[in-house]
Amino acid sequence: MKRTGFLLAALGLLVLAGWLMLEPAAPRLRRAALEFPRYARPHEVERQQRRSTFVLPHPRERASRASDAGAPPDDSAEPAVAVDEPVLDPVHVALAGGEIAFVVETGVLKDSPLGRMLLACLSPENEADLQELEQRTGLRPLEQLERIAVSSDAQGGEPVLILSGDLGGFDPGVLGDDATLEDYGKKTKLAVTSRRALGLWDGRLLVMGTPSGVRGTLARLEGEAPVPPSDLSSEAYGEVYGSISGRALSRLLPSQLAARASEAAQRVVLHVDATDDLLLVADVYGQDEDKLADLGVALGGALALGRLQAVEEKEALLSDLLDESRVTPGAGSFQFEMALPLETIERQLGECARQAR
Amino acid sequence: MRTVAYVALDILREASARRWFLAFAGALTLIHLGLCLGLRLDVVDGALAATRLFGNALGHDIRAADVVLRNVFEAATYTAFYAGLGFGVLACSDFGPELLAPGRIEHLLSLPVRRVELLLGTFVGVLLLCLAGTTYGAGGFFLILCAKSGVWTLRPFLAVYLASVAFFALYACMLSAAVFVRSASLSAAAGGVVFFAGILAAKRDSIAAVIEAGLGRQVFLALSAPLPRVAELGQAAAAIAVGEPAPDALGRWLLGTLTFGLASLALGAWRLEGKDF
Repeated sequence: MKRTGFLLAALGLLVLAGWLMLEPAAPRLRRAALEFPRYARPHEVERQQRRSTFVLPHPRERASRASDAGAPPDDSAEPAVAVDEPVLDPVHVALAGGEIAFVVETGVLKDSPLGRMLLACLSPENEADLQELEQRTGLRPLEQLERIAVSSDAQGGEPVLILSGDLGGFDPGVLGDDATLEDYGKKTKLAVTSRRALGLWDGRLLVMGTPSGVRGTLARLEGEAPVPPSDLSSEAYGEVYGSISGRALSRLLPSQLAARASEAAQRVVLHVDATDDLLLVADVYGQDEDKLADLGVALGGALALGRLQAVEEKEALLSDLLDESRVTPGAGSFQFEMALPLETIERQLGECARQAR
Repeated sequence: MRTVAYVALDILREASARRWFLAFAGALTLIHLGLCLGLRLDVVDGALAATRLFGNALGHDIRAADVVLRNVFEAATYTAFYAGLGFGVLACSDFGPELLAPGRIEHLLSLPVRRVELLLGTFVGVLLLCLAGTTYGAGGFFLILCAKSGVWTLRPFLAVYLASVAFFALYACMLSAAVFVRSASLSAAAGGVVFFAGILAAKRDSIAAVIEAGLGRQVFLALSAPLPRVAELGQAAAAIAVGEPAPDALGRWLLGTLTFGLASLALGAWRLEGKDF
């Protein structure tokens, strides 16, 4: 009898085990490996080749154009890029030589999940502003703009804003009633007031800023000034890219890192991929290896501390942001990577973002 | 109950004299010593700035120490889980056959010990051995990493004990098999079969989908339903170790696995009660 009890118990337990295990296993959800923007992808190389339409004028032609425009001949400045070299991207020509040079691929960005979320979450006031801008200037930013770029000159002066896209119908006269209109060089219409200037180059680039900043940018585009060396053409990948000098960077960083940054970093090249999660890669270059290594460790430490604090304070946004961050030391540089998952952005933006996605 | 404890202690005494277990303990001790003496983790403000093992750099990314350790904990948990189960199946396969060895079983049955107590005592003894091995091996490894990095977490310590739950089911099958046929090889084979079947059980729905609909598929689903969910428990252990939430079904898997083990033991007890010695 006891023996039969064991057998019945075994059978009963087996049936019970089967019933308990019936619930299907949900797969362990893991974040896919993130592909940080460390190099140009084929479609970005192709895009850049398509955009390289600016031919550097011959030095003699440039001198002639400069004298036509009343500028003193510039004997010292030979073009940094030889005339027989491939053509350049006009946006990169406009940005060349600045302490800060950044490009935002707005055309790509607005069709990305992040762009759709941001546009869907525009407040009624934002939308009204956008409509007012369209009515006042005839410019439809969401449809006409391909890129927005910002630069500042080598002295770190006022920034110059450059909008790129199909801007043929734009009238620079919208700058104001007090603006004087003039033709500048062969392809530019320029509107200038005492404090602001707005130039439309070739119906493709809109340059805005202080009169001196805008004139300096247009001089390069019109072939009247030399184009300083720029490595942006090889860095044109990601939805945001650009470079910033160590000195300019130190003005943006918290005080504890600012001093180290200005001493160690000569230049920082930044790339942001926003096709899905927001992925940032910054290459920090410097000459002093020890100071650069110290800066890398300090940056890594600051990120780790910030992350720990965010976890303790249950700040999901910040802890997610810093979770994938890392610093990879190299020779004469280090690379800094940071990721912000799209779900985190969606959580922050709320219902509008969820619907847009 | 006291009798079960005596038999279990006897198993532990027996294990302590075996070369397999001594070698295992020695190997674990060497690994622990190696990590203690050779591993250097430079943690600056919570970021792992450099990792060196006996002077050799292991990776050079600077990342938050707990994020780096998450990957280490995950890998260590998987290793401890699967390697621990594999070692347990091989090393513990002859406790059952030894118990039933001619001469020894007659001697034991002449004492005031019931047959089911002998079976349970052996089972409990081997499980205690498994728990001790888990605590010393995985626990020591995690303890050293936590102490060296300054990142303290209980999660990997707890997660790795899910392997003990899986071993509960595997060893119950092994012991039951040994009662049916007194053979260490067969006992190990039974453990191995349930081990791999338990891994495949995670894909039983996919496998069932390729079997022609009808009786064959239903029989397969019925037979595979109670199998211990080894792969799922391994994944759950890794998830817990790295700080992810435990799967919703974990409670059912644990209960189901333990129930499967008890069913196997009951089957073994049924056979043992009917055996002539």
